[in-house]
Amino acid sequence: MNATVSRTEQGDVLELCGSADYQATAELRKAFEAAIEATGGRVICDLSKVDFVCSDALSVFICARVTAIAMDGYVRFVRPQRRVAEVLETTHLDRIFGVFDSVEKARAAD
Amino acid sequence: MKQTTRSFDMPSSVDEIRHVQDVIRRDMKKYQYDDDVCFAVKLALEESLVNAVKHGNQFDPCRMVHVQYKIDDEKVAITIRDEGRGFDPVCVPDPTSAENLTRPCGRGIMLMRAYMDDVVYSVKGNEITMVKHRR
Repeated sequence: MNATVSRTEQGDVLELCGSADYQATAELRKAFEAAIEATGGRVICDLSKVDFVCSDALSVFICARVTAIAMDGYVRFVRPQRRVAEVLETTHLDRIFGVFDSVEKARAAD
Repeated sequence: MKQTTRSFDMPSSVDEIRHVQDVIRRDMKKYQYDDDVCFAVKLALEESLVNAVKHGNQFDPCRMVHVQYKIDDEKVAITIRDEGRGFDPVCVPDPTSAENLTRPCGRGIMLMRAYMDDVVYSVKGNEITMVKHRR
């Protein structure tokens, strides 16, 4: 899994790429920590290049959200692939994370 | 009916999980299972093998994870058994209930149940059998 924080016109975006499986969780955790620091806890995460997500990756998302909320921030997801979106819906996590079809809409959801 | 049956032992290392997933996916492709079914089986394997290595065998390199599967034109059936003490899956709380939604753990079993057609644990709880039918 690759993770980068990209600077866009709509602000910094955490872009993930690859498979969010158990082996990727340590890297995923570091990526969210870096993104939380870079964005002051207002994390927009682009999932468009993530093709797999497991329960341990979901746990990383939830822990990142707890940290972000403690900073009056959030973790919001953008453009998940269909199967990843279905995992979020199956676990009902789409209800606590915002899921949007663009960075603009995610940023404007305040 | 043509079928593929294999069984092997996997060391208690999460590094081995992708290899097992790849082997089973290759066999599924020979039977032309579509990508959605392959995704479901990959997810169920990820959750069951991580549980077996982490919770069952507790990363003990002396313990093995036993993998057995059968693929035919109609279904994929997989059995995973660890050498741990087992557990009672009924005691795992529902992660989709409001009070558990923000807990960071406990979603593996519900994902397996959601993505596979049949999921059965042994009485001891250290063996899981999962079946996915062709849609």
